[in-house]
Amino acid sequence: MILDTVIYQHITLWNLLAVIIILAITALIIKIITLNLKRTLSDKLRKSEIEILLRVVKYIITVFAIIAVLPFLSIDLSGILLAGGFAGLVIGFASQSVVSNLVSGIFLIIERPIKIGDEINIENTEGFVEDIRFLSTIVRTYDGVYVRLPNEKVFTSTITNYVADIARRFELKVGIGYKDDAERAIAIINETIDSHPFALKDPFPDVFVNELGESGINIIIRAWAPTSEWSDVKKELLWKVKVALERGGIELPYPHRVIWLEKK
Amino acid sequence: MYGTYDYGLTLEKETIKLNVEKRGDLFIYRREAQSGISEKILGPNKNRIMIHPIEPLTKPKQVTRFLEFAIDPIFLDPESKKSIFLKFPIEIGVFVVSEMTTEVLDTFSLNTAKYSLYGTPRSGVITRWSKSKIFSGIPEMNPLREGVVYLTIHNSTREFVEVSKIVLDGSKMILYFGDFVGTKVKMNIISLQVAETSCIDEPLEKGMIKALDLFKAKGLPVIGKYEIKGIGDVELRVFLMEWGLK
Repeated sequence: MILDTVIYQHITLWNLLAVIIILAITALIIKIITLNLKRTLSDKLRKSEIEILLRVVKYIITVFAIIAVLPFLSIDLSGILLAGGFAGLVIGFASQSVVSNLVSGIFLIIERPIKIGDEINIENTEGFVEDIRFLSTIVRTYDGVYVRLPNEKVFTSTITNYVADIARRFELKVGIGYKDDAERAIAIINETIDSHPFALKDPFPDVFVNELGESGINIIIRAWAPTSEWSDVKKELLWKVKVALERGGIELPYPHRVIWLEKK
Repeated sequence: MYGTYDYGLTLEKETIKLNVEKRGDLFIYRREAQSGISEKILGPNKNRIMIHPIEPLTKPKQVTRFLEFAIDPIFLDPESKKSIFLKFPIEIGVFVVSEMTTEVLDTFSLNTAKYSLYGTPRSGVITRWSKSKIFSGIPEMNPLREGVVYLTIHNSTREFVEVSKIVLDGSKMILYFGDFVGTKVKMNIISLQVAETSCIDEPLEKGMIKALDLFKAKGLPVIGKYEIKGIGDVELRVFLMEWGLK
């Protein structure tokens, strides 16, 4: 029969067909399970958590499929383990950094200092985490550039996660003229902050005279905003404070210098 | 203004102008209020429009599901119970209702919002903040802007406790409306710094209508659902105030 035709050593055409069928069924099972998991869990888990779960499920099913396929290819598992011991030693030496990245990747997934979508800074690479893989972490920088960071580097570096907490403080610096009333300026600034919905009521904003500068009095504004709104609130408030101060008759000084000319 | 309407409605109240008019084969929803203009195209099927009060959690943008009421400090005797009324801001929800489903069409507010942080940036929650006086009865209010919370505080401790803030999960709040908008909330003080707040599904007066649940209509997941054997799924409406009561 044609299926009994030997194509390589002990492997028949039937064996090859069985392998293809098993792998195809595995791919189908993976597709069905991942699709259903996505559908079921999309409301309940974060996207990053679903991605990790799907990947683990995918790897487990694939390992089972490979084990199921091996007898059809006349590959003895005990032989593989024996050969694997020696090969493992050789590969181990050759792939130290791969293993190190893999282990770091596992620890990153367990410790979770960053999640997919987080805004981070790792070793001067700033942007959004696009993916956390077993060997590397993918960051999309603010200008849209793809950066692949080996997990070992991520794990051993200082990670700044800008969105790990729910609220974040921002600081603005505003200058007023020497002839202006700083207390009145502070009152106007406080009113402006209070009128912004996302400048948080608590922790209470801090507005104070910080410095008697060369061109004017420098006032520092420190306020908190929900992390998701931080950037918008900071930008909006700076302009609103400027407009409110000008409307209140407070001068925003340009750098200037008073020069005395001596008459001889 | 609250109620159920057919397409073709035209409503004008305070600064709100709202209508659904036919344009060709389609219907156009248009709403004007101080917060801006919203215009949406509706399908040709004649569904119904429901306008209900909703929790003040969507404007200017939904960033939280927690509400915080700041009140003048109130001292509670050991192992005592006290009931008070508080005002709180509300938003207005416009829903489109078919025989099959309910969908949020628009939300708007006549109030200006303010947000705050309860707890620490690490593990606290962002809250929609509002300040209220304490009332001993149902106060006068504008149902398009404000609602009333009937708050029962139970001090379970053997100490005097001072309370000046109440934080609760607004997504679990159940609003009722009639001549006014109201809801019931319970606060159980466990220690000097910790209390549990929960929303109660009961009208303040007979004949009040239960408002549509914004979070259910939006299809948002109900967080904190647990199962009791023999009863089935029960929604957990309790929020633990673990970051202090003042």
